[in-house]
Amino acid sequence: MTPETAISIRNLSKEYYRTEKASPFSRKMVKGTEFLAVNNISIDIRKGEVICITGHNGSGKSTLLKMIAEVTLPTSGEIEINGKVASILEIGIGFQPEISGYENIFLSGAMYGLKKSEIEAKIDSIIEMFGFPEFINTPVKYYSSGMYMRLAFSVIVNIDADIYLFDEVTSVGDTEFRTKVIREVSRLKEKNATILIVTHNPTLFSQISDRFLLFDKGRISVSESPKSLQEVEYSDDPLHINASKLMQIKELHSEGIDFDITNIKINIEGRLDNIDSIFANKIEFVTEIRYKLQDSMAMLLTICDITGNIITSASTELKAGNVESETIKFEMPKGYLRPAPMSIGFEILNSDNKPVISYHNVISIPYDNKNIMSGYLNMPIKITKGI
Amino acid sequence: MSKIISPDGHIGTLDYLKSIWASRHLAITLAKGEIKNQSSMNITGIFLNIIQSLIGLAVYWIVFGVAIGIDTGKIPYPIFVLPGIFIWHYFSAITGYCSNCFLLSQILIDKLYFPRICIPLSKVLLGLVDFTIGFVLFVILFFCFRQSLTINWLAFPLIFIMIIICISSIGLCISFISLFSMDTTRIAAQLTNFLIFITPVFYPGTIIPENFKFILYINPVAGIIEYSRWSLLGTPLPDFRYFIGIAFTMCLAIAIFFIFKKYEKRITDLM
Repeated sequence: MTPETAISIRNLSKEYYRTEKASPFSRKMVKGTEFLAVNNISIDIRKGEVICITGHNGSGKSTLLKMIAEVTLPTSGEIEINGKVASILEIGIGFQPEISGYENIFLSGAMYGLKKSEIEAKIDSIIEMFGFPEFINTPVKYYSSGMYMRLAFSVIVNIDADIYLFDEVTSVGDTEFRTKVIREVSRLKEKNATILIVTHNPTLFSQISDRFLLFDKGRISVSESPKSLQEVEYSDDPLHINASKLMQIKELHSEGIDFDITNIKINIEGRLDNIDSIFANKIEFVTEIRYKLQDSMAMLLTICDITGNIITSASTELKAGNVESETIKFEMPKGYLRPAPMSIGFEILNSDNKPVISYHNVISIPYDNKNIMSGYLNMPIKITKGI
Repeated sequence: MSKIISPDGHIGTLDYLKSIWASRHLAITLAKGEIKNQSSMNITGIFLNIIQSLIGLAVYWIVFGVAIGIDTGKIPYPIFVLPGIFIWHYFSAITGYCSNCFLLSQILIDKLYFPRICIPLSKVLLGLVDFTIGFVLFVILFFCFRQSLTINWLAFPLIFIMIIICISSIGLCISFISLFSMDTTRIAAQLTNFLIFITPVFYPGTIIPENFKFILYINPVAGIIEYSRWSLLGTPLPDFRYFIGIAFTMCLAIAIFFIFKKYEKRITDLM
């Protein structure tokens, strides 16, 4: 383990067993079949790195976080941790419903190892981050779920640690809350904290993640850092994303769908001087695909905002049949979008318009606080003044 | 600060003690949170406990002091019975709290690491609220009945430590057993209902015939009640054989500490 490594995981496995009834008429529970929730994974995570972990339910993401947080022990393998860990595996843990938000701040802070004096020093910042100071003396049982989450999260992000573990922090709360989560995670990143985020919505963290880990049946498929348009900033060559990298970010929602994007070539008209001028140029996404489909489907290019909402999209039909190679070109005309944090991906939709395959965050426009308030669309709104 | 997490989950005795000490605020906060939560749910709050204690005391006085006429010498019956009542209530409350404490804290255990022993220890602190109320009530009645202080009162802090160790070790033991059996709560409740009759709560231990006294000697709560009466009321010094039960719980305290240390990191998986 080098000094730059925050977490080093070696041959880590976690075995559980299914508990079953001894017989249908018995109350006695016996050990059932064993299964590996985490199956022999090894990975090094550098200091200051933000890792986004995604995958299906039961794929082992949360179990990995629990082992790093020492909540449960590994069955085999080893984890070496360099630094203080703050694990946020559930928001609002330990809150007492009958007591006020103010008192719960101290209660929750103590759960995460904060001393009373440390909480007192940060109380103003916690209440400010909470955003509802007029409700701070109200018992939390009267809070809406969003307010509850905000208060709990405000406490959590004020914990001083080197490594932060977040499990599904954005699964609740409104868009504003999710944006707040991203901003806070971004702030922690600026402080060189190592952050591991388990999420079912990786697009949300695409702008701030250095790496994506895709979990499947207890194993990880490590993707490279998300492709950023910054990489082509000073290059005249088109950006290529090849089949192996696309396979790593491919997320299959239904079994038995035989579809692959084998290559994506991104052409940007003219030379980029900086990221702010990206949408001042025409951009082409030339995709090469192969598929064998029973029914017609649609291929959707999606441009998503910081919270994963689709800003705009374009779709094309994929007719049923066996196609070994087809090229589809998506052209984005210049001037319609503003440079703001966003991600570009692809979805394959079935006839009910439900996604069956997702390619999240094929490329991303980096997160930048200064641009977020300008919005995403470059709509020519006419402004007139008069007295 | 580098740390290795491996399957054996080994933790040194000194490190374990340090981690418990570092988490003392957590145990206190858990107890405080629960007290605040409970007291904010009813209007009477802490006064309800006082009213309950007074009603209980009145009932025992009428039944055992007046109707049965248990001989307590020169000591008025309410004063005599009160130390037995608040120590017994503390014991029964701790066995009750600890018998399901892990089950009730499952979400916390499943999502956050801290020394697991803090959960039953927070219940020991929680029970101290009622104990303190009972003790204050005793002191008030002690002076109301014009009793005089003796030098034996100086020994009470030592006896109090003995009470905490004995009752904590029983509570910790019950909480650990509850990890393996869901029936622990019921069994603990039934046992405490039965044990009160073979513990000198309502009567002095001296009225028990000699050939049955071994029941009191092996009962640690009997020992601490008898020694508390000696300290607070100036009753004759109890038989030293009462230390059999107390010594047993002292050994249990050491054993349960090492059992918790061994299973510390496995408790999440045992649930």
